[in-house]
Amino acid sequence: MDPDKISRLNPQNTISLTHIDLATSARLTDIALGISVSQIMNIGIEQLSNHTVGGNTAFDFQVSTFIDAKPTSANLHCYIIAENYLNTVNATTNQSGVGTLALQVPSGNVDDALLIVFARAPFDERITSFTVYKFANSMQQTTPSNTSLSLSPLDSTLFYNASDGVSVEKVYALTYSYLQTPTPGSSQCTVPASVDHSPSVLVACASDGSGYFEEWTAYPQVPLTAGSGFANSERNVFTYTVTVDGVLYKLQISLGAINR
Amino acid sequence: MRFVKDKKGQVRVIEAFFASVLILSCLTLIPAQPTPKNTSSSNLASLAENTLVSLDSDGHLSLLVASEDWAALGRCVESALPLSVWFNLTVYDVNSHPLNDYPICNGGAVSNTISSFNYVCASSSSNFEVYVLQLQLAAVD
Repeated sequence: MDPDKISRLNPQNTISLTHIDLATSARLTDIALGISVSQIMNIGIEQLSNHTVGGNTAFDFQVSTFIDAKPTSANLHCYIIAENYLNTVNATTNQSGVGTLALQVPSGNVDDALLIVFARAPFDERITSFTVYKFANSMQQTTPSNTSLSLSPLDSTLFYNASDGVSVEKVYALTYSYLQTPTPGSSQCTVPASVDHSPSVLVACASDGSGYFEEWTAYPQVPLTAGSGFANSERNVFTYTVTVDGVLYKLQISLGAINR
Repeated sequence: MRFVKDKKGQVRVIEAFFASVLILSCLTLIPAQPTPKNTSSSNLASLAENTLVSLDSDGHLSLLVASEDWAALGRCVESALPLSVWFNLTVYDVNSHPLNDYPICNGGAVSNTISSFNYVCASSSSNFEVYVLQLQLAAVD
């Protein structure tokens, strides 16, 4: 499947398809349609402890990996990104799908730091997933929550809304095996082609008048849910395994009658 | 005349009528609890086809078969199927001889209704070995 078509289904994309566009494109007039795309492998991050070591803060995390609620082993490749700071950590999860991660972040940068974890199944590199942990609120994010830059990837380009004194200083394009730093323009940045069987996580480092901040998005913009919500209504669910840019995802198409 | 005068019987009939009206009203007014219906269990052959075609999109399955990595092959198929679906995969050569020396499955069948799908794949190596993968699926009723 095409990563751009997938990304345009995500409501967070600036030129995403509306519900009406989706129904019209699918030529479905009397059937409610819902589409969701998710990663095959899920990753959970839980902070176990933290303590200060000199000018750094050391963190211990427990990472769990599972496929459809079943624990699975995985190889982990993690990036820690903060202001003028970048580090990588490798780890694994065992057959029970549990592993630990020990890392350090400069104490002055903890509030704006991001931990990006990629997990890859040892039996198939196309099963590669990611998740993001935000140190500022000690929370794991599977979908980006901050939208002041309105990060929106499409056609191998990352578009953003850098206005009102905001300037994007650096962009990281991260995959499981590779890290690239494309040069950011005033409102867009070219996303380098990746040969890795991995989703890309794009991190934009920006500053406004008050300080430094980071936002991220994924390319393709998965996980996503589009179309009808089917709250309190019956639906038929069709599940497929699909390949997007060499990565396996789970596609769920829900169909249901429209209540009249 | 005897029936008209039997007022007690009439009251019972009226009572029964109102009771049935009450029950029917309740059944009509209380909406049935909507439940998501997963049709993948009722269309297992389609699920099996999609699973094998997707997993072999870049020749990955034939590589695992050629290297006789049955454990990896089993985990690969398992990862693409819902947890509630039982599977049994058998790999045959062109002469219909089974190649896997132990069952590639995730336990015992969970239903008597088993769907099967045969998928032919070719090795990307120089000898272009052809394999037939038979995937059997069953879902919890």
